[in-house]
Amino acid sequence: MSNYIAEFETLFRDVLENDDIVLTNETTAHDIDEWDSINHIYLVVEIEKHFEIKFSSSEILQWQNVGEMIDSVKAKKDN
Amino acid sequence: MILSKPKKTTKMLFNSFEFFIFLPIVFVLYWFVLNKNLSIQNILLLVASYVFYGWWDIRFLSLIMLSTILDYYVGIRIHGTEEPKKRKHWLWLSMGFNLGLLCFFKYFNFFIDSWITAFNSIGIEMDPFALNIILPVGISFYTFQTMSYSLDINKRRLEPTKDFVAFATFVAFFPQLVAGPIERASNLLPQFLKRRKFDYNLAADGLRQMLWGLFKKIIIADNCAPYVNDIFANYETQSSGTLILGVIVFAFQIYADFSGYTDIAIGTARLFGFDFKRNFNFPYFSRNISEFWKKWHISLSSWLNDYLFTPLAIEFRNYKKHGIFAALFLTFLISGLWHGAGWTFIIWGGLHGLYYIPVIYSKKRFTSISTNKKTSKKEEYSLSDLPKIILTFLMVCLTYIFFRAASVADAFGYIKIIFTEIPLWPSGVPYKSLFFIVIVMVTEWFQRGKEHGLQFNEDSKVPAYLRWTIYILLLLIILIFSGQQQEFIYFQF
Amino acid sequence: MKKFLKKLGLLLLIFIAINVVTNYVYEASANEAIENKTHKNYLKWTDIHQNKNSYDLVVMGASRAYYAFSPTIIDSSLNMNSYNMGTSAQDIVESYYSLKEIFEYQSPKYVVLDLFFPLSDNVHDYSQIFSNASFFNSTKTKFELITEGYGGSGIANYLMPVLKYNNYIKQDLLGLFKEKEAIKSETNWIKGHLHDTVTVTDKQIAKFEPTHNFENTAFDKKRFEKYFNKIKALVEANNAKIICVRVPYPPSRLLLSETDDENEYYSNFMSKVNVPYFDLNSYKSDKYIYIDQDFADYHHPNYRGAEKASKQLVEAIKQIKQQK
Repeated sequence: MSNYIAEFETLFRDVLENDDIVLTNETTAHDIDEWDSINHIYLVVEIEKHFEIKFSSSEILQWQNVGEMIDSVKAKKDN
Repeated sequence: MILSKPKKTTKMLFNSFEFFIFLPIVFVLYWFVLNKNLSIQNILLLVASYVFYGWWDIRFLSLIMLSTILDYYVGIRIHGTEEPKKRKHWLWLSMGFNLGLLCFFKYFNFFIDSWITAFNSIGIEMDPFALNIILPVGISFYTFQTMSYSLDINKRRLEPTKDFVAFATFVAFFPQLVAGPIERASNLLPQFLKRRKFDYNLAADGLRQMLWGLFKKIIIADNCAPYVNDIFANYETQSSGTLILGVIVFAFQIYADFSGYTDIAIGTARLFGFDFKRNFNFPYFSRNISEFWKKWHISLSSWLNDYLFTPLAIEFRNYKKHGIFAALFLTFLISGLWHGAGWTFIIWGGLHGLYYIPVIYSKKRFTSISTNKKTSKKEEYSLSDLPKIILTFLMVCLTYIFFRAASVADAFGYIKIIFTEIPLWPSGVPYKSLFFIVIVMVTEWFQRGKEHGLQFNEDSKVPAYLRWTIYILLLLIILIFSGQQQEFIYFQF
Repeated sequence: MKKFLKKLGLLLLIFIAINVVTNYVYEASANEAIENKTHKNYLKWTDIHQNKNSYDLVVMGASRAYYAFSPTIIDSSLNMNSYNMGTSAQDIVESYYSLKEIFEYQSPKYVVLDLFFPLSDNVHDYSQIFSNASFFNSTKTKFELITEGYGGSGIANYLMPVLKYNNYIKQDLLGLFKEKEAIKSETNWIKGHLHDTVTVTDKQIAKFEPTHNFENTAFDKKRFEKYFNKIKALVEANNAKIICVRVPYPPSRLLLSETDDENEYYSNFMSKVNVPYFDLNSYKSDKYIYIDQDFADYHHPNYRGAEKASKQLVEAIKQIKQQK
C-alpha cells in the first residue's frame, strides 16, 4: 500500500515539476499549487501509462483525493 | 446588450433607494423578529428573495419556482436509485429543463438569426423570424447553480436535501440571484441547513465589502460608461490613441462594475451570516492568461472547469496536448456564448482560448498560482513581473473590443484603426475617472492578499480613527461624485 | 450584535451631522437672500401668492424661459398682465407641479411652456428643483412632486443634503484647483423675467456645440408625454389655453447641428395633440432675425434676444386669437 503512495509521489513530482510534493491519502488538488485542471489531465495520463491500465471517464471524475485515485489503481491492478 | 443611455428603471438595483429600504427591513426581521428557528429564518429569506426578484420581473418568478421544484425532486430521485441508467435519466431531465430554458430565452433568436444568415449566404432566402423574447433576469446564474446541484449528486459528491425551503432559498437567495456569484451547493446549501448566528466580524466585514463594491460601481463604472459608450458608438471618427484609451477605460469599467456588484452581493450575504466564495481575486495583476482566468469571475470559470472542461479533457486525454487544447477552446467558446447571444461574445471567448496555445504547447509543464488554496497569502511579485502584467492586461483588452463592440464588423473596424494609425495622445481624456481608477487599483494592490479591497483584519495596523475616516470619505465621495445610474453590464446574462 | 448596532449608530450619527452641516452651509446664502428679499424664487412665488387672480398669462420653463420672455413687452402689446414663472432647471415635471400650485392662486387664460430636450431627461438638479418647490404653500403638492415626480431618487436627494447639493460641492472642490469664474449678479428681475445685458464673447462662440438631438441627450419620451399630457389636462381643466414654444438658439449652434430632432419631434407631437407650437428659431423669420450677439451665452437670450422673442410670442398669441 505504501508502495503506491511512493510511486504516486514520484509521478506527481515529475509531472508537476516540484520535488517538494508530499502526498497522503487525503491530499486534494486544493493542497498543491501546481495541481490545476490542465495538469490533472497530464497526471491521469501518466498514471494510466505507468500502471498500464485504463480508467473510464466516470471513474476519473469521481476521484476526490489521492486515496481514491490509489484505490482505483489497486482495484484495476488486483484483478 | 444594453449598454446605452441611462433609463429609469423599477428594478431593485443594489445602488437604488428601494434596496436601501429593503435591506434594513429584511435585516431587522431576520436577526430580531423571525430568528426563532431555522425554518423561519429560511422562510423569511425565501419570501424576501422572491419579493426582490418580483420587483425585477414578476412574470419570471414562476420560472425560477418551477426550476426549483424540478431540481429538488430530481435530486432526491437521483440519490434514490443505484442504477446508473436511471440516475442518468433523472440527471438529463434536470439538465434538459435548465439548459432548455436557458437556450430558449437566451439563444432562440440568435440561433434563428444565424441559421437565416447562413442560408442567405449560400443563396437560400429565408424569412426573418424572431420571437419577442425577453430575457428573464438571472437565468444564466440560477440555472447553472441548480445544474451543479444535480451534477454533484450524480457524482456522489453531495447528498440531496429533503428541506425544500432551504433548497428553494439556496436557489433564489437575493444577494446572488441576479448577477452571481454562482455558488456551489456543496458550499452554500449546508449553510442554509444550519441556523445562522450573528457574527460581528463577518457582518462588519460584509458592510465594508458592500461599501467598497458600491464605490467601485458608482464612482468608477457609472462614470466611465458615458465616455466608453461614446467612443464605441462613434469609433469610426476617433483617433487610434482615443480608441486605445477607450478600451482600457472599458476594461476598468467592466471590472469595477462586475467586481463591485459581487462585492456588494458577498458583503450582503455576510450581513446575514453567509459566506460566499470569492469571485474576483484582483485579476488585472495577473502575469499570464492562465492566472487571469483563475482570478476573474472565479465562480463561472470554476463551474465551467469542473463540469465542462475537465470531463471533456478527460475524454480527449489520449490526444495529448491537442486534446487539452480542444477541450479548453470549446469551453471558452461556451463561456463566450454564456456571456451573450452573439458572435462578438463567441469570438471573445475563442480569443481567450487561443491565448492558451503557448501555455499548452510550450515545452515547460505549465504551472501557475492556484487560487483554490485554503489560506490566502499575499502573492510574491517582483519587478520583472511588471511587463508580464502589462502584456496580460493588454491581451485581455484586445478581447474586450469584441466583448463591447456592437457587432463583429464594428470590432474589426475598431481594431483596424488601432493597428493602421499611429497612436497619438487621445482626445477627451476622462481625468476624473482615471483618478478614481488609480485610487482603486492602488488600494487593491496593497490589499491583494485580502478577500476584498476594504478588508481590515483584527490585527490591522490601520488605527480605528483612520479606518472610520476612510469609510465616511468613501460614503461622501459616492454621494458627491455619483454618475448617472447605469445598469450592471452583467444583467443581460 | 450590540457592538455592531452601536458602531452602525455612530456611523449614522456622523453621517447625519455632516449632512446637517452641509445643509446649513448651502442654505445659508439662500436664507440670507430671502431675508434681504433678493431670492428670485422667493420673489416670484410671493407675487403669485399675494396678487391673487391678477395674471392673465404665465410663462413656464427653465432659465431659457425667464431670459427670453419679458412681461413688460407682452403686457404693452396685448394689454394683459403677464408673469414669467420660469425657474432654474425647471423640468417638465416641475412645471406640472408648479402649475398645480399656481392655479390655486391665479386664473390665467394662457400658459406658455418652453420646450427643449433636457427638460424631459433623467438628469435632475435637485437643489434647484427643491429650491423652487420649497416656496409652494401646498405641502401636498410638494410631497407629490418629490415622490411621484422623482421617485426614490427624489426622496434620497431630498433627505440627504450631501446628495442634493453635490453639484455645488463638486464645483467648490474644483474651485480649489481652478480659478472661480466671476458669478454674474442676477439682480434685474422684472415680473419674473431676467433682463440680462451680457453678450456672448467670441471665445465662447468658438466653443459652441450642436443643439440637442436624440443621441446627445437622454431625452425620455415617456416621461415627456406623460407629464405634458398632465399639464395639458390641468390647463384645460382650468379653462386656459396652452401654447408651446421653443426659445431660440444662437444661429452658430444651429449651423453646427446636422439634424434638428428637437423641432421635428415637438412639431409632430404637438400637431398630434392639437396644441399650438412655435419654434422661435424660424417663426416669422423674415421679421425676426437672430444673431449670436442676441445671446448671453450658449443658450440664454440677452435683453436684445428677449425683445425679439417676446415680440414673436406676442404675434403668436395674436395668431391664435384670430384662429378662435
